[in-house]
Amino acid sequence: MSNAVQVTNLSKQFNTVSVLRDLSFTIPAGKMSAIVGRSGSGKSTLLSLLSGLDSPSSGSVSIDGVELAGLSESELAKIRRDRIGIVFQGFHLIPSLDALANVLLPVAFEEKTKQAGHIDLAKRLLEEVELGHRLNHRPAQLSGGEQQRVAIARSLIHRPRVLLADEPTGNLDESTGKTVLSLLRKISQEYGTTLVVVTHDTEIAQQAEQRLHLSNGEISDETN
Amino acid sequence: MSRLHYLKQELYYRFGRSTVTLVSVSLVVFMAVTLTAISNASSDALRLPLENVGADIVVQLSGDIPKKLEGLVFPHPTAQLPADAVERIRNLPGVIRTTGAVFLWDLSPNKFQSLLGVDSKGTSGIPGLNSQLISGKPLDPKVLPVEALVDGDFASKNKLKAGYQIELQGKSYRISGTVDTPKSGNIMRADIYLPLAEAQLLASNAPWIIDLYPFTKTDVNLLFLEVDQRHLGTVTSSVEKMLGEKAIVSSEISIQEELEDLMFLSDQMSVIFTAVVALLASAISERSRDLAVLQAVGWTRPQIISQLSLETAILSGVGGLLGLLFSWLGIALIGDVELAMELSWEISPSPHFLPETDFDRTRMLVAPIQMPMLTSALAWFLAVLTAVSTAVLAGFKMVRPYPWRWLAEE
Repeated sequence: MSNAVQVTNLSKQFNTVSVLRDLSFTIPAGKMSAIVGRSGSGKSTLLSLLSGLDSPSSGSVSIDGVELAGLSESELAKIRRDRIGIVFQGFHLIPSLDALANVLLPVAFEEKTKQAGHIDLAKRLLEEVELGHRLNHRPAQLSGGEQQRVAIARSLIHRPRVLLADEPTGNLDESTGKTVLSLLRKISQEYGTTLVVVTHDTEIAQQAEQRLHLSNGEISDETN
Repeated sequence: MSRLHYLKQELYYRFGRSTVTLVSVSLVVFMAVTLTAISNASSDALRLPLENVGADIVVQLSGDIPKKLEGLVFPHPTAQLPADAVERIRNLPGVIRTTGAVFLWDLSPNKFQSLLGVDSKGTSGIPGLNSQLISGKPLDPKVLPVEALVDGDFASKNKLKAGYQIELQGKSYRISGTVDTPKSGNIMRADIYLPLAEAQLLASNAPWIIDLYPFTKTDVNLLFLEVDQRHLGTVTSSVEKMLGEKAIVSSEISIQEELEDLMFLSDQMSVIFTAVVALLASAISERSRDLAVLQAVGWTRPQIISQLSLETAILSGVGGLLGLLFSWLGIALIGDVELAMELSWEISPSPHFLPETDFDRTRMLVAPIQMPMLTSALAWFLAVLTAVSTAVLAGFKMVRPYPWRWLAEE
């Protein structure tokens, strides 16, 4: 089985505080992995490094075989556009755009000839997250759960190899959280996407094929 | 979804921010264009008094009050201009031509009239005067006995016309014709005009003039200068320096100094301009989280900056056009610039200090305001350029290589 993510000797320091210390692990392709740990354990910092949205103090991250270290800004953007999907705890939708336009945001600069196909896919994704009837609603007109579902659809529009989700249910009530998570699993399986969920919720972690526990800046594989 | 769709939605959704930017840019363009138009018209109006005498600079020297205000005197307190000073002024770099004149008041207990002796050359001399002839014959300095021209208003007030006689210091002159001295901005209006040599002769024999000055038949008390515009400032200051504290040098610059408050708003343009740039930069800074989201979904820095630039270019372009439209409406509404200016004593043709004189020293200088086309185009272009540059710079500052800090949850 190939690895979707490979992390080698990864460290991150903020001034004198060492948040992540010499982490090395792999995440298998096509599976769901959970990175668990208490608040402040460095889970989100790890996700920021996996997504290339922050730079490590040392060590390396490889996504789908591509080493992130040493890539230019544009190359990093291209990796995020082509191979990585990100779902944030705070949804991070663009408030001026409706649900459909938010989903299409990652492909806004693609050729016009591809746009029709993207629109069809975006509609299909929104239907899969049960928002087919809310295509033209802006984020302010959607509930938290609906916004997170739009964010999931957005993260999948370019069929990424790896989907990184940072506390995807953290801002949702329990019932909505469960729905969102099951959608996330279902769709990532359907699209053959590796799902990496960062969470402090052990119940969510139990659903993952791989469980990585982060504590005091160090990681351990707790998969049974 | 295309980037244009995003742009349209962003401008519409952020209606307040878009409106503020639009209004700010239009205000800057409106002020730049309108103030330039008013400033240009004001300059034209201020130039009128000097244009009417065909001179760029009028030179006089302040003198003493005659012991008795009777007969022919220099307009109080104009003094004789020394011949050597006139010669030195003539030789100043930038001086194209000098035209001498003698300006006199003829005072008696029941009568006042002003008299100007003018040179036979130059636009400030007899040729300029004859161009304003409304009846009779032009003034010919070669005709003997010497003739005089009279001002149209003075002629009608005193029931004079061509062919009549007028008396000055016991000497009679035939009126050759009447002239229509411009009523607005005319600094050299006199009641009676004579050839310079005749006025010099009268002045050199006037008891209350020779009591104060060694005035001869070749001297003057008024000098008109035609100057290369590039040297206007240096010639003005050179003459002032040469003649000292008593110099009375009237030029576009000296008159403009009296109206410097008009330019107050022009001086504030840079402040307004800076405020708009700060506003644009702040509008982009507010979007730091959105810009980070765009990066997170794979937009490159050039793509984000081009999006911001396009948005700003459209807003500033439309705002600039609105500013031009408002300027055009404003200018059409105002029409003319009217500057009420109180003439200082030295350029007043009448002895305003005499109680019996009801001369109104306030002159209305009127010039039409026109849309400055070049400034309009430049103001619009600079507004768009500045706005786009601000967007690019703010974009570079906001779109950092690693935007996680904007996306992380508190």
